[in-house]
Amino acid sequence: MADISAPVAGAPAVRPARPRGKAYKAFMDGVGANNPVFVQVLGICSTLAVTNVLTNTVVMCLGLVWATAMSNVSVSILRKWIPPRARMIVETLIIAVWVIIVDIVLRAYLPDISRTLGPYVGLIITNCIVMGRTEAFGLSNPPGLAFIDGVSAGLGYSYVLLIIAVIRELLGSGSLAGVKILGGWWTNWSIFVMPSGAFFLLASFIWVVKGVILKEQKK
Amino acid sequence: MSKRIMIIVFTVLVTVVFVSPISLVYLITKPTVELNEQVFLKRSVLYAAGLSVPRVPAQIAELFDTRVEEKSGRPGTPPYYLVKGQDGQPAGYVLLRSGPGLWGEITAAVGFDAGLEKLTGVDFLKQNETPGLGARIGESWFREQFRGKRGPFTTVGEGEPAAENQFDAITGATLTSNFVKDLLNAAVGQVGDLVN
Repeated sequence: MADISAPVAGAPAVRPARPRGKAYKAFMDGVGANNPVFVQVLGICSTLAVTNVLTNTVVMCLGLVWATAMSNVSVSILRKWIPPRARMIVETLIIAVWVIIVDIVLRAYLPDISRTLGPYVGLIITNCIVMGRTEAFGLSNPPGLAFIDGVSAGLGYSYVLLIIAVIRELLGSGSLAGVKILGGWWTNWSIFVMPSGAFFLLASFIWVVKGVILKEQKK
Repeated sequence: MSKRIMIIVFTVLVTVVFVSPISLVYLITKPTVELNEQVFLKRSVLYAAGLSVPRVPAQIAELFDTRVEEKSGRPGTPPYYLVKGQDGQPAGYVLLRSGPGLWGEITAAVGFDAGLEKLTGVDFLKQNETPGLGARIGESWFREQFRGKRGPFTTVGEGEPAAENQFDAITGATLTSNFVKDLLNAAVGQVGDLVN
């Protein structure tokens, strides 16, 4: 974190000299006003795919925070050398590297979780949030800020997913992270375990957040 | 022109720089990953044989080595596992069998007693069923219910009492339950030919 409060070399001179303010803004943007899921509506495929069991969601979220932060930092470090025309290739390559490392580590040290997640970890590579952040932020900001931005985009994605996962698993399977919570009286709403249930829930979530919370902020 | 070449040179360079550490991590973890695969297989075979499975990988391997023997079947048939009792006499057999599932192949270890009549256990080695629905075939209650059962099977609803030739299907996963039924019935039908 030391490099955030230090004056950043290479930052355009027009920026106000308040690095802490910038870091704060970079962080709050991802979690709130510029949230990747309910404002930018990115990463929806994985939101639908991995939110029916809480355990999978948690691992997926950790993977995404890691991938977004590290990719954003790597792209940011290389930003002065990356040729504009080849930037997409380089970004994808960098993202793939960080994600594959997660996959390999899971496979070696957490084989059971790696099994249940199956191909979803590898699919973080195609998560639009990661590429979106490297394009929109990493390419034009110093590494420290890029790291904060990556973490915050990841966290912004994570808490939305966790909320949806808790509701889906509780209503759909009567359990949380595989542990039975609701007793025998509860009839599972199977629709919530299936992707269609996630669509319904995510849409309601976006509707509430955009219609009520974000509207109030604008006023 | 030189700009275009620079792009290529840069891309190649970045690829080499980033892919080398991955290859290194891959090579370092490769033995662990292979060991994990072995442990998964041994664990499933022991579970299907009805033996209590230790938690520690080393103990799983030890129990497997003393109690289980891999046998090559007749030419053209897949290998199977001979389970020996404490006295070293044959106590059962475990077959690995694959069949279609909803999204991908299901591979199961199916254990039979020495007389090839009753099941000693069933475990699923590989499955890509829907999490929360079909993937519940991996849950303990589902796998446990096969011990002592006698095929060929039919299914009853989840939670209903099942006879010796029936098992509880999973609510909301009728297709997966039927795929499991077909897979087990195929194993029951063929075990006599495959073993020996």
